[in-house]
Amino acid sequence: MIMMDKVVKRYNELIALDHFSFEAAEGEIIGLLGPNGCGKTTAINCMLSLLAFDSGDIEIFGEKVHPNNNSVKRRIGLVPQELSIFDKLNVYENIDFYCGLYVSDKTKRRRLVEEAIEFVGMDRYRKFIPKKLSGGLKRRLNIACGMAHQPDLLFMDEPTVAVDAQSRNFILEGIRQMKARGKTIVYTTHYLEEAENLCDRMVIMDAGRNIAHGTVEQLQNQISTQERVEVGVITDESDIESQLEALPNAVSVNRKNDNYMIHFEKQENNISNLIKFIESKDLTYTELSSEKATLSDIFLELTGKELRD
Amino acid sequence: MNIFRMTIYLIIINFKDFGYWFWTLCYPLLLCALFMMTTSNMSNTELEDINAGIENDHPLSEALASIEFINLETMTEDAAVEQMEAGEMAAYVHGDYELLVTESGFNQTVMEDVLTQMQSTVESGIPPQHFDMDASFIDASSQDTQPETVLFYSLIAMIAFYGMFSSIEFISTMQPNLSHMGARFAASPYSKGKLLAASVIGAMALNLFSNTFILIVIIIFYQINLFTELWPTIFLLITANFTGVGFGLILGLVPKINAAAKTIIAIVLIIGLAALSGLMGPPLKQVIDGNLPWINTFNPVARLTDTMYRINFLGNFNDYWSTVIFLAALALAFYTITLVVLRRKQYDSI
Repeated sequence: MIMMDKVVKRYNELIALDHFSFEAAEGEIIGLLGPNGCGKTTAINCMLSLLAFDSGDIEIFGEKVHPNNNSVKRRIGLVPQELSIFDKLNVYENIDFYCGLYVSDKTKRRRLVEEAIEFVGMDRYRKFIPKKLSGGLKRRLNIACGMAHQPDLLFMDEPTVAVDAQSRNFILEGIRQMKARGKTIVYTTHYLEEAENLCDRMVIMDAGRNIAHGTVEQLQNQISTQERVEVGVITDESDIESQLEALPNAVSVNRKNDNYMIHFEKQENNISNLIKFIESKDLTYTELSSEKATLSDIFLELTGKELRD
Repeated sequence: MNIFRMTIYLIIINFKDFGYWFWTLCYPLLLCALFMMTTSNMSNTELEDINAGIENDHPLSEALASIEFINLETMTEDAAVEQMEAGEMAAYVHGDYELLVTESGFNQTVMEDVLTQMQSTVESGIPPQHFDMDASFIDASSQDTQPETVLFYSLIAMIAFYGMFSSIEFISTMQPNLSHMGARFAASPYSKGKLLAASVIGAMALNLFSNTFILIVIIIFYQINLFTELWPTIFLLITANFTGVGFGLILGLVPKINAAAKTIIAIVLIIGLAALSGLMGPPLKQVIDGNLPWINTFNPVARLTDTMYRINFLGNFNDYWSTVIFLAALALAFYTITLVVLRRKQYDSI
């Protein structure tokens, strides 16, 4: 459905997209993840043919993207990062305006607008102007404006930024419903837990490049840390860190007061090995917890930085 | 969505905007009030033809009779004096370009201007039947006699171009690199031609509404009759509206400047052009016309001011169509450029 092949986009000396490639299949939710300025929005703008790129190819629905390729544009929706709604139009009018850019038939448009209002749960607010809406409701309106025409492919650029928990859950549930209807969604976000729960596959971007992609499991396999175990141990032994590091599969150990964070490269009996070690030393542990490698670990290891850097 | 629906939305968006109400209605009405305070005798001005007498077989009879705003009658000097004293006639032409008057006033000054110009034309070797009627009768002295007239015509000319504010707003809003809404619009398959048409119709409708309101205030509330030739003036103003909207579209396309900054540029520009055309009083216009006449030849506000003055105050239609064509040509150029730029446009940065 989407094929982006070695796309390069330069702003003078700055390379915003550096031979960036990725593919998305029909009916999947694909996440574009990366820190600010990594090229997520630039990639989306190139796919929407809003931005001219220097080299590479982009095909959507098997056709090359082009500013005047209306057959492709007609099947695409956009939920931009910023609120893109008219302050002077009410909820219904805003949705009708944007839906009207795609749908000329008045009866069909009326039905689609009603469905969009219901989809984002804004029936009570249909006559409200955006100024009267909360931040979360504005975000919902922003989404309704982008998907009212029921596109086959929807680009959602950080749709849950600055949204309260209730609205966020509402939005995420809506996205799942769209996927259930067979829609393809390209989703960018800062919230890794959101991406993990929502996306079928992810593309991790850094400095305009695709540095890793795949499912969460596939991405986990690309990094050295598979499991993190945190243990609290009271001991006077000074070399406890090096002893913990000698455990099977252990890669590194970080100490914080009496707690130790042990990174393991494989998920193989790490907890039982640790407990055996503690018992052999006649020590007691105050707490013990284990966590599989998260997207945050993957991101940190692959890029050397936190996602919000 | 058809053009009509898009136009309605664009009108709603602009109509609810404070900037529209201030710049296209409040500001011109404030200027009107200011002009009325400073030129309180304007309401007494009546735009009537000038009654003049001329001696029998005078060489200028034919030329003077061809001027639309002069009612010329052949008579003796005694009869003329009698009529002038009765207030029925402004002036009497006799002898060698001599003008007999019994009082001074606007009509007498206009007659004197006419005679002076005819004399200078004849002295330059041009026969009286080839007198150039174009522009001659609104020279500096007659405008100086009725400065408030020029102020109001200049004000009306200025507001006729105010459609540019709406079109700047419309086009800037639909540019992805200038507005968030623009990204959505550009990503959609909606026709740029339809957008352009809706923007033009919407901006024209809004500005014609505000123009009409201001003219009603001037004519009914202030009791100033500036329009003896109403329909030709309306046609001229509609043409100017069309040009103003086109200029706003061009300005709206300029990248990297937001709509608010463009509106300020437009305000400064239009006030500057209006000042050159007489909005701040005729002296500046006289200096420009005397020393750098080409400026006001290409100044659409000055062209519109002069033409409205000529057709309504002097009954002179000589430059009417050239002004209409000048404004229409500008508009055509603006719209063509806008459409070409809008189509196939992608952006270096968003």
